[in-house]
Amino acid sequence: MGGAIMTGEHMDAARPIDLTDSPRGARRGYTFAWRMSFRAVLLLMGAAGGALLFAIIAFDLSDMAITDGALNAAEVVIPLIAGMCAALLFAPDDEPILELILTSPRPVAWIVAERLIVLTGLIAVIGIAASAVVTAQPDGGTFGAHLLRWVPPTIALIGGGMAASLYGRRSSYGVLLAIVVSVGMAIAADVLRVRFPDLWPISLYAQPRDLTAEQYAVNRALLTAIGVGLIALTCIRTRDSEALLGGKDTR
Amino acid sequence: MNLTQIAGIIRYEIVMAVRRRTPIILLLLMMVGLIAFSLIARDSTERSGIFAEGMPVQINGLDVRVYAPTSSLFTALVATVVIGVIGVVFFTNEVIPLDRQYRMTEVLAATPMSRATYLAGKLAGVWVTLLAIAGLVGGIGLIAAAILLPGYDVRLFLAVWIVFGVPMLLMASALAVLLTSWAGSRRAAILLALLVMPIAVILLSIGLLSLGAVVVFVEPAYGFFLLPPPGADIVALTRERIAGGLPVVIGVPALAWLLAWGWARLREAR
Repeated sequence: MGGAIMTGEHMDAARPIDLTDSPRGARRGYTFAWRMSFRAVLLLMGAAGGALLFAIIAFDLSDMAITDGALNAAEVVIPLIAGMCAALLFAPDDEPILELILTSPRPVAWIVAERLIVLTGLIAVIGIAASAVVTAQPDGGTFGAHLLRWVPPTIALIGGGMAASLYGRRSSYGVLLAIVVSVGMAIAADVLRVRFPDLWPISLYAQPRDLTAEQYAVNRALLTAIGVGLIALTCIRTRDSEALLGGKDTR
Repeated sequence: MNLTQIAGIIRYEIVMAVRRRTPIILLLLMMVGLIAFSLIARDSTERSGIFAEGMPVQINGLDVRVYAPTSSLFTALVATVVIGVIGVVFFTNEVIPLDRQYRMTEVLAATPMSRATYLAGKLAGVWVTLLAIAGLVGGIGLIAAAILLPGYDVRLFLAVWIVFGVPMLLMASALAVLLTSWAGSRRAAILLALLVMPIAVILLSIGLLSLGAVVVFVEPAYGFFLLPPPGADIVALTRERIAGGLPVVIGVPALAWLLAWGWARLREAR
């Protein structure tokens, strides 16, 4: 198996890549498929956003209040859309040609990473624009404070959605987790605060007025850490081809 | 419709559901929900001071030691059904799209089976699985509630679960299976399920105020959530509510069937 592989990109340069001798060297030949990722993620975001809009209109028409009025739209909607889209980014059973993808020298983690980067970029643009609009209002608060309200929950739900879809093998796990955790915590924010005050470190929608400055900082840092940790765990998991195909964990 | 074919599809669907771990996940989801919400409702009742010294021993003619745990159980059951409905929408939407994703529909198109038989078989397969899960949740829930909410009225549990909970789960699964049947892949089915979910939740709220009102026939005092106007005949009001809500709860899934079947006929000319 000491043969060399010529990828399409390297054929012109006539530079063979030996995968067995130099895996690092082989990686140098990979490129990101940004256009494809943009198309996939935009479609997801459009569908998820459209569904959410439909839900809001439907609930509004039927006089069913969804969330506490104290929570602003950006704080609930952005993490929810991000979580749902992240859950749909990659699930082993939902990738129709997973075996083929795994035979490619380009690591699966790259696919996950490029889709995640596109999703994060789009969410960041929407979120920053929303924060700018909110903070321009008379009682909008500072821009940094508003960012703190939605960025950590968004990272946590992105991590949760991705991990649930990957470990559960189906996107439905991640989407369900994102919806139940996000909507559940938004609806029951006050009940949770009063009945389970010890849950403040992991409360997605903790408000600065309900916690001390130190507690609020810990809450935001912990949510971010949970999200980043789960994203890292997901990327590491994608390196195990055997596990991705449904076999035993080989790492 | 060919009953032998339907029975075959039902058997296949049950096996596939078990292989996808759907029954165990839905069972766990609803059991965890029932236990968690029972605990929260019990905590709320105890904090309300209803059992404090000097408080009335009867509420609306019922012993407070029965009324309090029973009203807590009602809240927990409704919350469990909400979680169950959301879970069912997300775990049953893939039933038909998976056949399309794996190109099974092309094989099926070559068999002498009508679209109605196919849809009925798929839906019945999901319903049989759900009925088994609902039976287990009901059975285990009766015991769990006896431990967590001692003194509750068993009749209310059975009435709510059988008349409201199970039909709502079946309604949600019918919407999820039929309205996502156009999807060509599992991922597309989930995206469609996102649109189905609010419809199912709105129907659930209609079902709660109509089918859920059956608790009034157990004891009129349990109809507190219906907010009857002062002096109103709550039993007559309940009958009106049921008569008004039932056509919607049945009619919407029936419309979904027509849409799914009609689309399939149009698209595949069968």
